[in-house]
Amino acid sequence: MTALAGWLGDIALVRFEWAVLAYFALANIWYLILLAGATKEMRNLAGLSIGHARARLPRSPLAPSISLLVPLRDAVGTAVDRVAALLALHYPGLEVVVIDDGSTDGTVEALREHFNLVPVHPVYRRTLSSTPVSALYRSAFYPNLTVVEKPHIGGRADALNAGLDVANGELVCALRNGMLIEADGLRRIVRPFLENDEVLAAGGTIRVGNEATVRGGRVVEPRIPRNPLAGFRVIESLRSFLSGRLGWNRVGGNLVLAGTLSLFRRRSVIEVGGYASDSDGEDVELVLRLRRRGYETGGPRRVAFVPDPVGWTVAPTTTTEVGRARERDHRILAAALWRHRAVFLNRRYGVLGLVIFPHVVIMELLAPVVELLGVLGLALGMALGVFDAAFAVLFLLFAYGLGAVLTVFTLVMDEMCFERYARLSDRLRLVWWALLEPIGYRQLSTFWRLQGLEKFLRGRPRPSLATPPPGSPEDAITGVRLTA
Amino acid sequence: MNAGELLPTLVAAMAGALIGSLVMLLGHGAWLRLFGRWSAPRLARARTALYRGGRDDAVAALSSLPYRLRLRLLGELASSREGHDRDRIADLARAAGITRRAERMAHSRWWWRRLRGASTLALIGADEILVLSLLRDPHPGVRAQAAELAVSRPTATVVNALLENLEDPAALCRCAAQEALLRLGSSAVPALASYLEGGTGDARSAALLVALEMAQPAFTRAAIRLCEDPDPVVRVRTVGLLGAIGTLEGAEALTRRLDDPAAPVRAAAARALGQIGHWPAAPEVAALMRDRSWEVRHAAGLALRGLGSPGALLLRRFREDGNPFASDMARQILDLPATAEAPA
Repeated sequence: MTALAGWLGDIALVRFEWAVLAYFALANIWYLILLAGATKEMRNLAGLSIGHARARLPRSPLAPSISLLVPLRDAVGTAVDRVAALLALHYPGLEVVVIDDGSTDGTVEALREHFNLVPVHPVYRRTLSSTPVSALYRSAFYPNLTVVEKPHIGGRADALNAGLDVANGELVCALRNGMLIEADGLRRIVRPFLENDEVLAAGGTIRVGNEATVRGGRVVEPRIPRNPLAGFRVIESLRSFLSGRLGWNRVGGNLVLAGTLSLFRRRSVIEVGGYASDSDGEDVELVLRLRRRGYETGGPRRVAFVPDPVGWTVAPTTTTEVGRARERDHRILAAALWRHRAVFLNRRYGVLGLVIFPHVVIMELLAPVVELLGVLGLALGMALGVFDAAFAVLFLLFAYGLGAVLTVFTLVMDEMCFERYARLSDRLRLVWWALLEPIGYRQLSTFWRLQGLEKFLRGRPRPSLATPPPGSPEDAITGVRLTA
Repeated sequence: MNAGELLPTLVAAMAGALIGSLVMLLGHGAWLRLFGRWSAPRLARARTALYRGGRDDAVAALSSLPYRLRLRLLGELASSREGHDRDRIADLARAAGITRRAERMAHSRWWWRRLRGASTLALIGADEILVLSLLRDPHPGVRAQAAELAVSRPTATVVNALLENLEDPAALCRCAAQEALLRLGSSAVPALASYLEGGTGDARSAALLVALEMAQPAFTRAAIRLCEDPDPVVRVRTVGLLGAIGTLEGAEALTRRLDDPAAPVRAAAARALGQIGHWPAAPEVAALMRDRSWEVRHAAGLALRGLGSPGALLLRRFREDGNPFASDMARQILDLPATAEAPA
């Protein structure tokens, strides 16, 4: 009897491991399809960029106006430089709306003094739910700078909603701390809105700028970081942005714009009730809500992705920070998908319900679970002698090796198109991090994502994603210089 | 299938793909470096010849460069030149064989070659027939680029073709046509004015945006007629246009639009009247302070503020109005600092 149970167990284990192997194979084939789509998209964009007309349009007075929403809290040291850098961006109809989320360190006073802010009576229509604004200022030097002062009651979503009510731009962009936007970044990210009436949101690539040389608020020489965690982040973001999100442009548009510089139609955002105060991942949740509404009302529903690098950020360089970020991202993704679970395999939502949403659930949300079970099954099978070394190698190649090859394909595509890293040493380092990433870091990342899932399932409360407190790594690099 | 059988094939395929990718990545980097080193001194010499040398030196310097670099240099030069200098650039391009090549490309069967051709011709100019053919190209990218090219050849036929492109199904082409019309400025005004009088649908709406930026009195007649258009979006834009033009004739049409059934049109009309300071319309604008729409009340309040003393007097009266919404808006507008403008 025991022998029979063992034999059955072996069969089950073998079948399970082959199933996991098939999952990895399918995932990699799907990513290869996305990469092929991304390559086609990139070729198309490269072809279109030959013409000057496409570059000229965003400089036209007819281009849609953009409001940049900048929530700040206790950022006296960086606020002035940051706002000055934003005001210097090259865009014809630009408005900067700074929302001071209850600072106690004199942030508003510093802004008031530097930009000669004049109090304005807050005559505006409160269409979104947010904490009432306590004061509104406009700069006497820069008529396109508005500062909103409000008490710190809600989180980041509350601050953004207050800013949305005051903003006048046709498009809005909510900025996070520590993001350095390229001088002509807005001109590049606005293109999808000029080229397609169906676009309701667009996301632009944010690159990792650790060790980059910044002069006058611009990255003049990007470098590949020597720090492994920052290096892996470069690889992750290139893979995610170029092969993933760009590929989705050809398969019904994107679902998740987290980590990008995202631009939305302001009217659409207001129509869906603005940013959700009851959600930690307000950006992720907003995109889902906007896309759902697009399908439900027959309005614009396309979320485009712009591969051109439009901004830079500094990646965390300690395992604690990276782990916290991964865990938080995965928990936010799980919460947003759960909230919109009605979309899953729902024909009403077309390609969103039948392809994009299921992909995110199966290939992204549940990937760490499958990976963990697969590795545990492999270890058990090896211990019981069910699998030989050849199977183990095959499994690891499917689980990690194919991914590394796809990553290197992405690097080739990126460098062929954008030629961002001119030095040979940078390209070699890029390849080095790509090949090293599946060994150790990938497993750590799986662990962090599993933690995120576990916290979501247990509904464990976590600190709000409100404006980061002063001294946080993101806050420390705001705008001026990415490295010493 | 046995894992042992699958493994060598997989490993070989992955190794091949990796090696191929690495060769491409590193080879491309090395090529960029070498090409940069090779081209830098040549570009510098050609630049000197173009900016300081005579015609023959400039042609020789241009001809010695690969086509890609010739275009780059020509682009650099053309971006900051107008008038007679632009003619010189066209002459150099012709002498260096760039024009002929670009024209050949503009007739290619591949869209990206046609786009490249149109892009080059936008720097050096092209004849009307070619411009018209590119404006009707099957690919939207080429049509958009042709709109830019059209700016260098603003004949009546070309301007009409640009106006036709306002009805293009591709948003990129519509935007490019709008931008080109705007850049054409006064030479596009008569055609645009007659288009506004006769055009239909969304294209007219797109044309109105261009007219709004130009704000020429020549558009007044068409705008007054379009004020009665059934589409509220057209009426809003027309009202904005009349406000930007600011004629007395237009002000009367604007006053009539204060009773429009669509709130955005009423608000736009009030805003426009405030913008041109048409104080005789103050009582009609003041009536909108009791409007059901916040947007209209807000626009009316700001318009009254813009009308000077008569408006201010009416606003003060509204502070004590029986309608709480009107009195609240009047109070808020009166509280505005004199130098600052409230957000819309």
